[in-house]
Amino acid sequence: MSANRESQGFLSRYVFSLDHRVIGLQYLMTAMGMALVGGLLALLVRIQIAWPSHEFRAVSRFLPQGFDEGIMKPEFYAALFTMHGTIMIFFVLSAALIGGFGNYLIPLQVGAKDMAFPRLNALSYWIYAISSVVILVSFFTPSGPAASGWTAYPPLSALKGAIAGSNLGQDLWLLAMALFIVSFTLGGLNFLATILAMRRPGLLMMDLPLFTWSMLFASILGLLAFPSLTAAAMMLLLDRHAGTSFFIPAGLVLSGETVPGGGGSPILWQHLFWFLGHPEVYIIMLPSLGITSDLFTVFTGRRVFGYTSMVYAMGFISGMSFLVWGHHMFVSGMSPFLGSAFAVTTTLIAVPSGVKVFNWIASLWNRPLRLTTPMLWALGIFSLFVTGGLSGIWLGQTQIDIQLHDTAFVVGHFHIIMAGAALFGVFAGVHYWFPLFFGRLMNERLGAAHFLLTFVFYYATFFPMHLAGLRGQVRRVYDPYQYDYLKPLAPMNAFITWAAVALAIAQILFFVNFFWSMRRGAKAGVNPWQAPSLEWSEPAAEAESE
Amino acid sequence: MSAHAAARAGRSPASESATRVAVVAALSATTMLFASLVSAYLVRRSFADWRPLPGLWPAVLLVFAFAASGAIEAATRVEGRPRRLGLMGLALANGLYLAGALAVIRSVASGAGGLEMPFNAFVALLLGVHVAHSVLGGAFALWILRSDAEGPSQSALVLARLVTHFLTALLCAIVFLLFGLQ
Repeated sequence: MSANRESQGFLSRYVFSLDHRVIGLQYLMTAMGMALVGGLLALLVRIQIAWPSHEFRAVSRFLPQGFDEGIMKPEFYAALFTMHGTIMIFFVLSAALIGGFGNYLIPLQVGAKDMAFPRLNALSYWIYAISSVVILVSFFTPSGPAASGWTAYPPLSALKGAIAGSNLGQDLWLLAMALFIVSFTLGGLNFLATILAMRRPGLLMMDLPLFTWSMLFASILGLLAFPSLTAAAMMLLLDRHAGTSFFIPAGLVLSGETVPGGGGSPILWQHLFWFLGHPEVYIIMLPSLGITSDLFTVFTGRRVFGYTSMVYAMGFISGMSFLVWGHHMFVSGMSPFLGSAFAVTTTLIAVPSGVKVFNWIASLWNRPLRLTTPMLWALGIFSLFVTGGLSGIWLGQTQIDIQLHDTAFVVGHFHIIMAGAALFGVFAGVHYWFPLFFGRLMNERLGAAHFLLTFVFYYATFFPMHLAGLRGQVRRVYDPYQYDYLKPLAPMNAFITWAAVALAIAQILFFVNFFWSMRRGAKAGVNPWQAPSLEWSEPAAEAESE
Repeated sequence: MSAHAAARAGRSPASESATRVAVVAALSATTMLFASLVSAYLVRRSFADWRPLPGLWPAVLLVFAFAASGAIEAATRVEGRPRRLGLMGLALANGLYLAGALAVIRSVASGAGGLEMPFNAFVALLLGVHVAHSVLGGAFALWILRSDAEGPSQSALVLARLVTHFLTALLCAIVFLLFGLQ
């Protein structure tokens, strides 16, 4: 294999490769690049919330279209939170966890030679890469990127003249999402086919690592949920360019003129969007939970407690995720009876989630823990999953959600449960499988320092948001202090922003560790963690070629 | 080479069962796409401004679609030259369906009310998406039927048949939805 690799040129070996391992790393590297963009946007959002009337003349020199004499423009602020959400959810977390780890590890963990369809796999990555470029290019359009939120609610997203970002930027957003969905669908088909039909003879489904199970469920969720957004996006595109009115209501007035046509329903978009939106939460979460379970197996020296129930819990969570989308729409005017039904289904998800939590406790109970960096990240995921899950039970109840909807409480909640747990999953996975990727270990001290700082500043950033939300701070507002009742929250918002800045600075440790360890890290050898799963039973990719 | 690596080397990519799994998964995703569109249609048709238009075109399109299904069905049951004839019939019926569907979309888009009329918009949308899937399905059928001198294998034909019947069933559902529910 190594001779074969050496005979390949750089392009065929690292760029247009059909090897699942190279494609997995391509996904990971691209997602890391996109994370830098998404993270930077988040910092700008936080700076605006903390100091909305402060003049940032130095920043405005780099972003002249977003600032007016040092003060951020409202439409630029809307574009920032829109693009931050879109990039982080789809182009970073989904891509890294599913595309990155999934591609690299699934064939290894099931004992297959490669993915079932290697060409389709490479095509999937390149479509994702193009979609990433498209979403980035939208920053450079004359009217700026999409600014209707990552949920792209119409009529704001349906009318080209609504705000600056509603023009070409929104079209590019739709195009990027369409490409991303195609990429994800191709990847999902491949994952399913590989896991179900390419397993090593004798390897039973119930012998698979929980990470592979999580990828199976995430692939099914993606295949069945993304079509809903595809349908909605097609209808939105027709509304914008073909004169249809699927989502444009009758009698809508824009700039003093009644919008022609109309008669459609913006709520229809919300239903279609959230039918994807909620399963998307689990598409991101499940791989992270799978990684946690597998790391508990490795670093406690005993198979995770209740393996079978873990599989069923993930299956139940996946199935239920299709029945809870309405809890994102409690304030849309839905029938209270329907709201109650969605509250019940939402609460039911706490049952399998509880199964996972108690199984994890039992796995850790009275065991000698090897507190390596990957294990620290896994414990971090455990913590975030419990904290975020508890606030999720609040938001699942109509009476409470109606009060807290669209407040900073929701932002704090989903950054802890979804974004945080998933992001920690990426870090856990990178630290754990780094020896497999590059034949070397990441530096443990740097890794532990990075974990501790990230853990502390992550909570420092997002936990106070719950308090701000409880005191009525609405989200996505350009200047919160235009409302007198929010002025006392200014110090808290400044604290959150400083914590976010510290969180961002802490990530430098990760990048330094990652790139330094690629070249200078200690040689890992075969199976440095003494893990029981199949991927460790052969030499690492890079080590093999040396 | 480790035992695991040897085991991996023994499994060739894209086995028949993997292709079957991928096809079923793709058809499931397509079903969900149409389920979403149908849900939107059912919500929208309950509004006060809903005005469906009668037309003869569904019958014509259904004839072409059933002809395609009949052709692939026949092709799977025979061998040699009749099989090739059946596959040519499939291509012809698909071509006629695509031309007919595109003509219908053009007609509703430029006809009375145009796409501003919700019923017309849904006709164009549902048929348009079905046409797109028929093109993709046709391309897939061509790919799996790509044959050597002995002609396409029986398992490839079975997959092509599954895709063709699925698309015909989907068209039946669309036509029923647009005209049977009035």
